[in-house]
Amino acid sequence: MSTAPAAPHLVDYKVAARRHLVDASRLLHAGRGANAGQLFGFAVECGLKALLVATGEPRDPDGGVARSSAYRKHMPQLGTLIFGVTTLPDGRMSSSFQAQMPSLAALHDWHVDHRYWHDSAMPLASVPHWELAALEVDAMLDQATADGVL
Amino acid sequence: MNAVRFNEALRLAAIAATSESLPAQWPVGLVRDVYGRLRFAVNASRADYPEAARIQLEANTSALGAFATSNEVLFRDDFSDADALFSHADWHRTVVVTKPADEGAAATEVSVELLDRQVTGQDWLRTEASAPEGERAPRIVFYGLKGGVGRSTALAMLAYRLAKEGKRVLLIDFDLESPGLSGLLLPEDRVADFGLVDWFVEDAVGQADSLLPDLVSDSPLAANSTGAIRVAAAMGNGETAYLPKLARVYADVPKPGGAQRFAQRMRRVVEALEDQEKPDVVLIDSRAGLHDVAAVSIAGLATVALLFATDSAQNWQGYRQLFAHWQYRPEVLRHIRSRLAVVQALFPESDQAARAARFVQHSYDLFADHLYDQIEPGDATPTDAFTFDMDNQDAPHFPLRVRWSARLQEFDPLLRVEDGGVDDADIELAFGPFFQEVISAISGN
Repeated sequence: MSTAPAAPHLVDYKVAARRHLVDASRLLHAGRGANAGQLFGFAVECGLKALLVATGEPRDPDGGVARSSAYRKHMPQLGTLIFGVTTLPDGRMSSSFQAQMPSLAALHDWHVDHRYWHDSAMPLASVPHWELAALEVDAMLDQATADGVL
Repeated sequence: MNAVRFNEALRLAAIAATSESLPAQWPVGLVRDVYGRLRFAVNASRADYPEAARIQLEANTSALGAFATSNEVLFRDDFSDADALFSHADWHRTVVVTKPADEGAAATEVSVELLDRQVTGQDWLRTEASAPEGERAPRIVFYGLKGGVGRSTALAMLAYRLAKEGKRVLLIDFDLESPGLSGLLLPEDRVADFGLVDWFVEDAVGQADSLLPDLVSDSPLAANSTGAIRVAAAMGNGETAYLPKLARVYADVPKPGGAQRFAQRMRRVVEALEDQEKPDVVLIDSRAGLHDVAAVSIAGLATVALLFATDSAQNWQGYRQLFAHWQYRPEVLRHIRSRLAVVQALFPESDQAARAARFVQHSYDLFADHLYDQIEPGDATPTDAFTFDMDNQDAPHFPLRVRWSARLQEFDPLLRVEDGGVDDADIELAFGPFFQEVISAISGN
């Protein structure tokens, strides 16, 4: 719920998700698919973590998902963890949010270590699918904002 | 200091949002979130909206108590797709009473755009028809705020009567939490392999179409008629896992083009069944209570919604809450009120004239208070006004009647007369006038 104290945390997953998405779109339009893809994946991760902490997942003092949490993961493991079992608190709202993000599985071939990889080794054909997943997460954040969850 | 409660919070927020000191260029709407908390919403960027007005709005929110949030004014900047939020179909112009009528002084009220984000129940206000009138068979929804008023029996009997007239009747049992219509109309060996709950769980994984032919079966009740009664039951034959399926029916489901909510899925299965069965008439058994199934059935599907009631305080109180929900959304009200028809259920055998008069009076009070246009005494009645005299038998409040009959208690329509079943004369005595009125109502559509 959005009754979080006004004092800002260092970590703001919603703002970060939006920033990564905007920057990823710019990179993609500039023909920089490899880094665009990396940022689409982070946009998804941050959007999901925004929902997680808003619905009660323990946080560290900096506002991030607690180090002790099983959800302190990157995609695609994070998505599998969240949607493999219903972790969001209310059954109906959980399905409402989940149903808005049907393309999360498209990140199965996204990896955080892509940032170290050679361009030619990257699955660049998957970038449009990662973009779609990031846009769905972005729409989910809008809904969660209107719903008062974020 | 007393806690600010749900209703009071809306009243205070509506007053603040409609303050004349705010710039008229940007009307202020209200977003009430799933927890009931209220935020002001302005369809402008934060930078464009005058700071003094924003501060004024923020200052007002402290009065909302626990129903305020930490970010009280929403602007376009707060959303990635602001147009989707500000043009959302669930915005409704809503009348909020700011001061109740008191000692002869009329109530005061304001009108504000409200986006109510709810976990359930949005569909009471979603009144769009799925296809233009005339392009599909009429749908008659059977609804009772309370159960046990003979709703399903009346539905079965109307199906029988329509089949005798040669009609092909499609009967859909959406009383999913209390399935039983198929038991009334189908012997066990005639129940189809699948029920409506199967359609919902199979649809969630994208394979509902293939079970549609095995979702409907013929009722032997129409065996000696020239028509047919095709039954889509809640539950399939030999079901062993009804509850795990029912528990998944109301989930939103991801689909290409966006998530599908329960209401959209319910509409899809009705349309798919209609496309397959080509019925002359569709009878929908909605579940009792203020439930989403009833909301979709009445507001979204019905050509005519039959509201079953007995003359009891509980019934009228419940309907009063439902009608008030529509009353304060004038655009919704206009769409829905002409589709309603009250049914006096279990009309008693004794003291009929006095009981009928009392029922009409109570029904009229309900409709006049909430759904009919208010014409001030002395004013001329506009030709398009939706208002009726109490004794007008064509008015929505004037009840269709189903007589109580000892012969119809523990009624089994499939039982032969020689085995203790009822005959056509019994049926006609209890349901005759009801049949005529309903058939007349759908013929007029």
